[in-house]
Amino acid sequence: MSQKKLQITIIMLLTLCLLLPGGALAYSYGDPNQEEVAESFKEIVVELNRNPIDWSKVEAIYKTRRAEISSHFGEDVALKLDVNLSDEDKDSFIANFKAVLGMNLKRRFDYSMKDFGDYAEVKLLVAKAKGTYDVLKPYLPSNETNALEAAFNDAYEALGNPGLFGVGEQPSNETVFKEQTTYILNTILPLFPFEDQIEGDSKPEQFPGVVEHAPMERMKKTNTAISIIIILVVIAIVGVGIWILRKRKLL
Amino acid sequence: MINYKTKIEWISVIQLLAFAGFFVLIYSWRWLHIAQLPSTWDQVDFVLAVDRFDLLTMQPHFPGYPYYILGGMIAHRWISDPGTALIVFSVIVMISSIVPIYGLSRRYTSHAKSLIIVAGVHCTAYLWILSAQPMAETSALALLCWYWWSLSKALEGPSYGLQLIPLFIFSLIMGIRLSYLAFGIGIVLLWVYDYLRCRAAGYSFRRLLTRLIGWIAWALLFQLIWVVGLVMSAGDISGFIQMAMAFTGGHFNDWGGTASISLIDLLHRLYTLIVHNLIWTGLAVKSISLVVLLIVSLSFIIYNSKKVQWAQLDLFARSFVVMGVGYMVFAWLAQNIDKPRHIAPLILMIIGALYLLLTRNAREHSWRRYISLGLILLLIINQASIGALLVKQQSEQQPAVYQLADRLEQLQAESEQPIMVYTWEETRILEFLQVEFNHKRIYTFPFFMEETKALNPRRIFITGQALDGFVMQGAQVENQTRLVEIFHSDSLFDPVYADIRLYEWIQ
Repeated sequence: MSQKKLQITIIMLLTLCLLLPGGALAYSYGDPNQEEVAESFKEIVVELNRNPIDWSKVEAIYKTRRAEISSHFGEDVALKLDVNLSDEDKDSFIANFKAVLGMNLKRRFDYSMKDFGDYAEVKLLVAKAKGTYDVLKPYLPSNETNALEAAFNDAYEALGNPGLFGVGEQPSNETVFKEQTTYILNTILPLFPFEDQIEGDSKPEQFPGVVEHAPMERMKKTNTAISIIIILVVIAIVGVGIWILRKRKLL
Repeated sequence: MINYKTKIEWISVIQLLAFAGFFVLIYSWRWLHIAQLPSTWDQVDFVLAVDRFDLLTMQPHFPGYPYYILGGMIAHRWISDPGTALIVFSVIVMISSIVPIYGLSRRYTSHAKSLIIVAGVHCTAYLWILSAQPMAETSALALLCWYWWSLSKALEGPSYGLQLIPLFIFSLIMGIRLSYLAFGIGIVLLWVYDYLRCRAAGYSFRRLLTRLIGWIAWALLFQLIWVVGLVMSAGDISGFIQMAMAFTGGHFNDWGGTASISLIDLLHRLYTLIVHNLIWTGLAVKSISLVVLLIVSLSFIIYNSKKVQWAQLDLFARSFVVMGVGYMVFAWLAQNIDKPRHIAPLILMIIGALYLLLTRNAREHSWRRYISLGLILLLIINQASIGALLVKQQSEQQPAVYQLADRLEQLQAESEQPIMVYTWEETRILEFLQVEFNHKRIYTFPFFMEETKALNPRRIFITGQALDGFVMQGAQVENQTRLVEIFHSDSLFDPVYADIRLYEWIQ
């Protein structure tokens, strides 16, 4: 009798252990309407405006994003930011990081164009682009923001909508989407050039290397992990249920 | 019901006519006083969803309320205003709940008393207020009545078909209001009773097990309908899971229970839940006369309880109580305590039980009969008249957020440069109103400081909610703010943003 109870307890604890990392992982998703690089930028700016500046904190935040920046926009960009950081050159660092956000906007839109048929994917990409824009917004001329926001809205609506059970379905419009995103990029990118004077060869139009990584790779990984955990948990719960019932019958 | 049908007398026809007339009256009044202006974040989410269903842009917010929005979309084909379409859908579903409430009452009392109970429940003022807002609550409540009724029928016998109905209705409820999940206890109890009954009938273990697995499979299948609808609306499954995780994570962080809950917090929550939300707001709609009436009714029931022959509680009544307690615990621990509408199902249950107990006291040829009848009439008249007034007020009053928007439009017109307004959830409504000034939601004080630095010399405004958030983060804001105006509306209609303070930020 007590052995049975022990077994039940162990299985319950195991189920609980399986559930816990699921919950913990769930929190790693983040708001789909926010862009992580951009959110880090906000934190960095706050740190840089303290007096005195704690450069080690700035570096710590930057380090969490460096790999991403390097793989998406090229090692050159990351190296440049490294140099700004080691020079403790606040203004250049901020200016260059803003340029990185501009590149990020372009990256999100480029992939949106590429995967335009995939509604679920493109919608998230555009949301990330909007998250980036929201962080850049205070640094934009205030007379531009209304038009830019309208362009974001139009671009988003151009994605169409599958509706709910087919009710309220709206078709997509790739031309409108391209027009609007091009307008957004043409307005924003020139405002945040990437400073590259120290190395001599100034290449402000260079938005290098976006091909190595799929745009949503990080999240896809978490997805599989969570799916597996959810499946395991369901199996465990059903198993425990059947097992207890069988015990009942034997009792 | 069958024995009633066999002898229809003229008196019951008159009762039915009076009842029908009463209903036409109260529902026409409600129809004329629909508050179609969405005044809270949640309401805006729903109204926007009728035109374009998109979980990612929070129209509506997670988990999507698909059947509710679908109902609104269908009503929207005839009613051009999306908010009104949603309300009309709710009201129609609410009217349908006359049938199950009557059916449930008939289990315990006579035809005439059942009509009184139905009228009483439908007159509850708080439910009137809710049903005149574009919110999912009332349609879910009406379906809960159908669910209870189907559950009571399913508990009566081993019929397979009858036991499927509550599973289906429960999936409709989940597709409208997921937080009523706690009422699933009823289904679990149904399965336990079914198991015990079939075992007593000598079913083999294998047969018992397949029966149970069959129930579970049906239940999951029914739930799958709306889940698939949601997934399709999101494009594909990975996009849907990603949104689900992100939104549920955020939901429980920002609005749900805080990370560390002490015993004192829990007791305080319980007090708010029962005294403030359930009794004062929900049952009495902040009216002293209703509180007194409720107390008198309750005392009368208790005083009289010894004189009444109590039948033993049947299976359904017991599971009804378990569901009520289960939902209350859920509301206590997991729901946002600032919004009294979360305890709406308990209001429905308590009001229904109260009228039933009052009618049960009414024994023939006794002075108690007149007192209990008088109390019932007083309660109904009181609830209905206060409800009628409140619904009218709600439709006429300008919500505080709208007043805020007007004032800020005015300030924008006076100012040469674009102004900037920092808010909390008010932004959602301002967005919906398509105001002419810039506004933004803000939580973190250092981000705010950083942004305002970049905005100088533009005029900056901030709402009290956002400012309170900064103070909680330890910001010193006394010398940097100037109170511009305070906007009021009735907290019965919008408990969280009924009072909005507007400050100007001085650099």
